[in-house]
Amino acid sequence: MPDATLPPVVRMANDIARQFGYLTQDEAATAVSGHIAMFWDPRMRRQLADEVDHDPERLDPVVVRAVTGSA
Amino acid sequence: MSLLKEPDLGTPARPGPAVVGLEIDGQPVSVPEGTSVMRAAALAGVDVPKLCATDSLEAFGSCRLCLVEVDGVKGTPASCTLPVAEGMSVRTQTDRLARLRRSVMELYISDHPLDCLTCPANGDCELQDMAGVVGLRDVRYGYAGENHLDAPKDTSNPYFEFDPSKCIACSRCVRACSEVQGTFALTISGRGFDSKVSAGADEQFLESECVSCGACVQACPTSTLQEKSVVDIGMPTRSVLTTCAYCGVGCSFKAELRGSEVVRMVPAKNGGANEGHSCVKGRFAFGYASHPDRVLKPMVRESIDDEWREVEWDDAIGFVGRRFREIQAAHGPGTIGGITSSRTTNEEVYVVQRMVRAAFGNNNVDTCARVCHSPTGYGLKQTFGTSAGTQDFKSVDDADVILVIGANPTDGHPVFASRMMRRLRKGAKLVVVDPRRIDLVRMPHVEATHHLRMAPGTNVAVVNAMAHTVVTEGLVDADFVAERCEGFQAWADFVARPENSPEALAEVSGVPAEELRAATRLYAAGPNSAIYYGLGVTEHSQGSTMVMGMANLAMATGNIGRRGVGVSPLRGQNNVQGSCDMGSFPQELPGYRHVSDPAVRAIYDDLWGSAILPEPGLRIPNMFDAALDGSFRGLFVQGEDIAQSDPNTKHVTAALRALDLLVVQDLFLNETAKFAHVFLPGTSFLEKDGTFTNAERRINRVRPVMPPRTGKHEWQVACEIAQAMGYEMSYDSSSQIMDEIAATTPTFTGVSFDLLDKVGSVQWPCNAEHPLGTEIMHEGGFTRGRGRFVPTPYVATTERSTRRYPLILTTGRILSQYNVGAQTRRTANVVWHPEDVLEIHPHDAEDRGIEEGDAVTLTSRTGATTMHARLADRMPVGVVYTTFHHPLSGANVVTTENSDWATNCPEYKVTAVQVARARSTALQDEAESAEPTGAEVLGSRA
Repeated sequence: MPDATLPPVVRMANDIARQFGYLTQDEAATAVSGHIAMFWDPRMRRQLADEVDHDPERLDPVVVRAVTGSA
Repeated sequence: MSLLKEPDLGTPARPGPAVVGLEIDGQPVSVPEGTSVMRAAALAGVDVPKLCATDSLEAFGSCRLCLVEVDGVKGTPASCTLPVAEGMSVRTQTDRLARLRRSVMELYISDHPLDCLTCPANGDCELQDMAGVVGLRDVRYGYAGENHLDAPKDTSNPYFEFDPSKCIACSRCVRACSEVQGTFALTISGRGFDSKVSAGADEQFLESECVSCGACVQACPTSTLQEKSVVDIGMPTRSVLTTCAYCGVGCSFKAELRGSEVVRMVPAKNGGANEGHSCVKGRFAFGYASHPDRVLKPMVRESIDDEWREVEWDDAIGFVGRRFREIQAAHGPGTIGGITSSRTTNEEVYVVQRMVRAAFGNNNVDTCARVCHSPTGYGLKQTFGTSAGTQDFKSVDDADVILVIGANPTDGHPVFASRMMRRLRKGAKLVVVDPRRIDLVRMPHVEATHHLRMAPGTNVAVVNAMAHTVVTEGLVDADFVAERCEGFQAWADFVARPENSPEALAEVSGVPAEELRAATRLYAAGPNSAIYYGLGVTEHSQGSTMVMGMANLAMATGNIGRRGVGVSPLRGQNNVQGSCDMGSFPQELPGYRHVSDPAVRAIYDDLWGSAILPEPGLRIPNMFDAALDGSFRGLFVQGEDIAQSDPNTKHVTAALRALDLLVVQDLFLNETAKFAHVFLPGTSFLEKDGTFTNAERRINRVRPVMPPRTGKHEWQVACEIAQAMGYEMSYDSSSQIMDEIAATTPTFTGVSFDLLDKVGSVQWPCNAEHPLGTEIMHEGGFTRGRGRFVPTPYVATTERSTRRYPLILTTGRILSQYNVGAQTRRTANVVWHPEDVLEIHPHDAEDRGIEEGDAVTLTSRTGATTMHARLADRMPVGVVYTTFHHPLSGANVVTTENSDWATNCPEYKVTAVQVARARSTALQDEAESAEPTGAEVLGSRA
């Protein structure tokens, strides 16, 4: 699916995850989780968590791992 | 010439350790070796008459007024071109010298209009002064001989006139244009009696290469080159030292007035950033401050479809306070926020972010840096520990290799570009990394050794290939890295991978591998190599990554922590650095301290009586998304025209329409105000009292030349809004606000208006450790301790050209206009840029049947607009370029939601577009329906 049609939090989270592709999945998930905690408003984090709960296929697996805390 | 007479010592200083002792008119004088006799005399309080000499220009020796007698030297040498010598004995006043000087003046005056009493320069003319100084009483040659008194005036330039009848051919203007500005637009054509100042190839000034910087006007000792404002209004009678409100160079100016009317802006010789130079905007384009379009009274309306209604301040502020609280009561405390301006003062920004944090009770505050240099803040903080550039502008004087990446300083930072070009003319090497052949690639006496012309969106590929070269060819400064950095090995292993080689990345970047390797070797060899970069780095989906990539390169080659090196962002706006410093970020308080830090929150909570939230708030793009989903409903916008400057205009305007309350504070009704319910009039820089911080972290005073025409300072308005919302907040003065900033921000503890009045300006950090500020950062060690290498994998942007949108659009700015053009479009600068145009390579134009000047439709997946085409081979094939200065064409209608992964800085530099001949010159709304036909796309020409 073209990125422009994705919900903004999905698009932005996937963008972040792509930057850490050189790390292991666990390291990348930690990096994504840390970045989101530092820079994202809580409502955006809740929206992302909703996306993980309801439509995880649109999300990079690293994002799912970062949000579910299974890093 | 200028009202506030700064001492003119005749010739430039020659700093150096060796000192020479001599005697001038019986006085012993000691000066650095290489100093001219003229300057040595001036330093001793002895003024030698002069006309062609001025201390901003190298000596020329043409006027023959400054003659002196020197023991043991035949004749009467010119003191401006004569260097001091040990034991020299000089006489500046003798009968012989007096006769010679009077003779010289007789010759000048025999070919000069005798209209002193009606001349615009009356009282401020060096020729007039010298006639008095030499005791001229008559002109033996009379006035009937051949002369130049009928030479026609050139009034083509909108700001100054050239009257050759008054010219004394001293060549100061020619030398100013070459030595100071670096444009070389002026020359002396003809010889002997026929010598005359010529713009271009004997063209009118406006048609020539003249960039209207005003250096020639500044240098002219007579009224030959004179501001039209002085001709019309008269000589100014008072002067106020202040700072330019245009770009991030932050030039110091003397605002010269008659009463409360500004007659002219003259660059201040001792300006820390500009040292007496200026550009067309700061020098001449100040008229917008008194433009009839200025709104001076508050206005409100219930609905954006209603007409505006003027009201008193109390009514407007009461309306704002009440409505913000109503929104919060109905929808929650986090549903309102504010955007601070990058053009207002530090003090005004500080107060607005306090209003949001303490009165609104959330962290939904952001600033215009979001859309320009937020990746700089992120990237340099990650690597060096400080969200700012590492050098001062003077540092370029010591650079041996200059790497300009994604910047066009001759247009965006012209006064700094002039300084850089002086260094390049003296032998420094230049590497330009840019898809376009910017002017700097090849200019008079400047030529880039390498122009890495990469495809838009491939910056990180290029910097990784350069890093690969450094690491694999043994170009690392191992001692520097070992002593000062961490994380090197993991980074080196990463960049050394074959997929990061110049050869592997050549296809994607478009840069030939050998050229890239050669450029890298040049940079690594230095010995002093400096990086200067702009929005061509930051406004990308990997903007932050690229900043870190450049920082990695600088650390790996040891190019940090001294003069002549560094990583320097060319920040676009007059106070974008300052607005970031002041904590206008949703995640950071002043001084770049995260809101999650309880100790930092406590500093402000104790002082403000607030309860700052520990979580980040919304960034500007997030505010738009939240407005559309209903979770953000009220916005205060200070001095930003987001409906014009932010990407994907349709998205932005839809978001603004969705708000329950939009408050705009600005000078003029703008695109954003179309969606506003309250308009609060703002103040121009001529009315402000505060400070701006420029791209080199230099804090400069902004002094008012008149009281606020609106009746209130902008910081007072923010305080009153907070009070209307039930939060007590007030200050007595801007100085008091700065005192509070200094008391709470470690990098600002030494800053005060008193200090700035004493020393002119300081670069932060300014504290106990650096009481007069910090010119060069990271000298002994990095702010974060050790510099941190960060791997920077290249991740291609998702914005790709397609069959439907086969070209890539990149956007930028030009010299004569500034940002959304709100200021410059209301000045005579429109003569140079009356509209935004689309630059397109001739091959791309031919494919589409487009000729020079044709109206074309520019279409992307987000929208379309119409503008006129300009064929330009400086564009690469496949790439088009436009500016965003005019709302009518509204370039951001076509830019997209793509942004930097770390900061959401929009990817303005990469948008897939199609261009076709327009069926009409309709406005952008009409152009939306003008989908190109197949024939237009394929470029059939009738």
